[in-house]
Amino acid sequence: MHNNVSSVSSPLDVAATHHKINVDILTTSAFLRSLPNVGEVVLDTMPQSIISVLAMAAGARIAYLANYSLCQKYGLEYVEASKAAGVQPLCFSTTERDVFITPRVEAGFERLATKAERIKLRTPDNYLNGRANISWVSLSELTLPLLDGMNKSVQKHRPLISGKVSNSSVESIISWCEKYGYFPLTNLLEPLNASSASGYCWFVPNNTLLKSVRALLAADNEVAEFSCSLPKFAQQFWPELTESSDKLAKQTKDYITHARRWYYLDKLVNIGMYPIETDGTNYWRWVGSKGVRLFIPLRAIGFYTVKFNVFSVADGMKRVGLKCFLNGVLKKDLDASAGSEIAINHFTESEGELVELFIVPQTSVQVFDRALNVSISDLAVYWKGEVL
Amino acid sequence: MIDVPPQVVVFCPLPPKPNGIADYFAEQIPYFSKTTKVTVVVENTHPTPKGISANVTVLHLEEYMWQQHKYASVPHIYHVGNNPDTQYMLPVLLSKPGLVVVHDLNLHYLIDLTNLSQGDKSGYTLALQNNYGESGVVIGQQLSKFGWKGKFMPHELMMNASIISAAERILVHSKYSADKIAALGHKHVKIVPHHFSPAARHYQPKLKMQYRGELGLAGNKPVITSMGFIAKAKQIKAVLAALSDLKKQGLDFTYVLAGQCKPHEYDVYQDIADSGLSDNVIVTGFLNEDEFFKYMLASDFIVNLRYPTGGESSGTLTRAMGMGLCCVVVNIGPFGELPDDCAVKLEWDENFNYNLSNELQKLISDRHYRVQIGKNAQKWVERTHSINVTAQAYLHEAAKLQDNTSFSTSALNNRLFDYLPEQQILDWQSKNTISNDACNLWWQANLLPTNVTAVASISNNAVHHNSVLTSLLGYAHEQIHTATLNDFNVELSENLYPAAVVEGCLSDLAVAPVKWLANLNRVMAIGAKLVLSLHVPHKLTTEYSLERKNIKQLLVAAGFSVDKSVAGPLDIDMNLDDAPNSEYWVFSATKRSWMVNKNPEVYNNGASELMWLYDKKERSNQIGESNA
Repeated sequence: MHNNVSSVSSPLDVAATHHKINVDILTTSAFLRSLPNVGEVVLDTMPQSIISVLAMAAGARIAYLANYSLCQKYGLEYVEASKAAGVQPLCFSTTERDVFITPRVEAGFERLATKAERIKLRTPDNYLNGRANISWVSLSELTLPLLDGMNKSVQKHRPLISGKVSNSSVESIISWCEKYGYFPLTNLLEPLNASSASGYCWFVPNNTLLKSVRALLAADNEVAEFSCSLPKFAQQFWPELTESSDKLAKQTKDYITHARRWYYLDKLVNIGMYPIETDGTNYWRWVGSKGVRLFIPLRAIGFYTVKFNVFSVADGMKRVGLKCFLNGVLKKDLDASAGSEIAINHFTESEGELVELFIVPQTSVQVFDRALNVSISDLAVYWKGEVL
Repeated sequence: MIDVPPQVVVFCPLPPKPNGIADYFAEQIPYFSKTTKVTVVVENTHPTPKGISANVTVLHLEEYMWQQHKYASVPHIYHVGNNPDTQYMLPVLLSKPGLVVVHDLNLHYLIDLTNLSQGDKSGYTLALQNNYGESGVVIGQQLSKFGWKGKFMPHELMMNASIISAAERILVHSKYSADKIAALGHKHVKIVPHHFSPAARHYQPKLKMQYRGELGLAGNKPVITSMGFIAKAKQIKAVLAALSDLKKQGLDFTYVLAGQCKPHEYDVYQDIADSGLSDNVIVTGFLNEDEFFKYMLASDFIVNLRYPTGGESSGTLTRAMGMGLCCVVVNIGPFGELPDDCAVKLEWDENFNYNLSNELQKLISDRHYRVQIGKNAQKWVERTHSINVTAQAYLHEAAKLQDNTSFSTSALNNRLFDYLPEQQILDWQSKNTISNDACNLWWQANLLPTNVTAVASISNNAVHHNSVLTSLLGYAHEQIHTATLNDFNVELSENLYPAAVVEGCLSDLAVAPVKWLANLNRVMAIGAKLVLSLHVPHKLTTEYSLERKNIKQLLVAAGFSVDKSVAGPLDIDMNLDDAPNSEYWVFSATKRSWMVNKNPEVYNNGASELMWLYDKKERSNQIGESNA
């Protein structure tokens, strides 16, 4: 895609004009590359998020924190799905407690005999203090009470900290950063100040790290005229981030070049899919009779297209009626057959959004001990095609 | 002028779902819409509704759940039947009280769909326990351990208590159902007759021969019809046997089984062959509405037997009677409420087969007899089953609803209980002076959640109890409702509590253990947490064996399940030879049922005696019944 920028901009501004998610990808990649000896990173996000994929590519040891809002919303089904994807049942909180999610007892509810699950809510210090070499703590939202609960561990580990900061708490958070020697920056690496809008921020523990990141992102460069595609632009301004011969660069380049991301079906936190299957070449997962709920982080503001393929339909069925709800809105109601490609458009209005795609089959057939309808594959999110 | 609500939310399947309740409600919608905005919630897999007016909003359950806050104060109506098409509404029905229209009284199969049909035997046992207490556990375990399940158990064992208890108001079609529900303690039950289908007016009885021609039925011999699913309870076998005898006597007829077979339940073709009626019987399979009415009007009379009954009212019967057809029924349940001159009502006794044969012979032979009964039936239905009147009655009941529950979760089948981390308890213990005169085991073992809306604190040492509840567990004084061991059942009777912490002595249970525990049950909500500490005296006079394991059984008999038990003291001094003189047994339990067994096995006194405790009186506060 080509775009003309009339005024002088930084390279990151140029990336943002294509889609703001490019800024997320590039800054995350730059920070991961700049961290000396990447140790453990603590992510308050799902294994399927872009942040997580980049951290894995950087060789980090990842500890995933559970999404407590979703634990509350979907109860035991979500906790089980989350644990199956490798997320520990622990969340950061300002007050500590053990939350037991238990089945209700009234006849008419399903899964009355399910075992209760415990979610531990702990202050960051409680969790982080006993661990070694924490490099990065990424939280969905940074608030002063939560940061205050991190006072001991920031002195011990000096981790990079990131997360969304709301405008109303900017001033108090800046004071916290000053007190603990952190540089608070926006996603575009501008200093966080009282007039900053709510958005994703980075708290950088030292100047060396900051300098390295700025250099990798060519943050001090200016672009007066821009008329090449983003991949070419990346070669020009972010060669180390996208052209190095390591996994992190390859993953970063893949995102920037193709403006889409595939989901690894096996690591997908979901409610309602059977385990992954393969014939050696293809991978697919069957959808249960009540449908599947997929959780798709779309962190940056902008337009996205969520796509998936119907890999096959159950024996004895040629077509299956499928309904697709996105955040509770019916987006597609169609008859699908093997090979159908289903695309759903969505505009993310605020940073850090997590959309829920709920795919419901109209009918299923019993095959041995499973109720089957369609299997899906090639789940991906595209962000190319819209210029902000 | 009758009050009607400006808006209602109705949970009900819609056409083209092949479901009688869907057709029933679709007929009512235009009458609702005259005064009231209607939003219908259907299941996510529901096919696109057909024939529904554009001014009706139809939401899938998924859409409803995301918008539920918008509908929180709108009256909700739930149409519940004993079939898979109404299963989707159960979590909402059980969490948001509304007007529940009970089309089938039994509902065992509906509950079965949520557990046993999914292979979940443990869940089925707990569902039975919820309905039948300790006895339900026994039945469930018989199934899971030995595979025992009587063929008719689903018919005989109703499973409607949770649905009835959750409803703010109930609407049924028969006095039979109303009486059964009232016996469960529900005070707001309204009888509204099953309306006569307006669609029936498109069909003319005088076109009987034309319909027979269209359907390929003989015009020169009587046509007898049984409508609806061909199930065992329809007593088709008995009808075939009676007709077989009549055929041998020289009578000729056509018997139409106008409905869908249920081959997994009943092999009707075998019985047709055995009765020698292969030339006389027609099995139609599933019929659309047009065919349904034509078969009905092509008939000379209808045989609509049901035994046993699940308490369901028959829409087919109302239609047939409203169209002037004589119907033969078994004189039980809702069918017993038909006026005697409007149907042929057969007693279910040892003479049933004989009487059935006699009546069939009379109806085949005596045209005047059957026509007169049919006319009586038609007049009665016209008088009492007008859809205008019944739709208004629905709205009138809906207008009385007061619930405005707004959901904070989509996991309506779960509850979240907060507990202190162990370290906080140890810290508190080290910073406070703990009296050893009272039981400390229950809070040391961390058995009480910290986030329930109110706690019933029952003990003779309220100071100690309340100190722990406020200082350690963080409850405000107004959340703690205190009562003594002697009169808690009176002092706390105005509320249903989501948790109770009780400190008593084994001697409190000595006279009538189950009765004492049942009194605890009475003041607690379903799903509530009970923490029961019992001091064990050195000497105890009782006629019962009150060992620790038996207390667990007594709790189950009183409607609880035991989650955990501890005994102590925890702080035994190993340097002293003295035995501890303050032993306590502590039980953490969950209330699962309103059904109590007054004579449990522990009593060693013969058969069980069940007692249903629920009494839906107007309690001032029904505290924290759900997490919705």
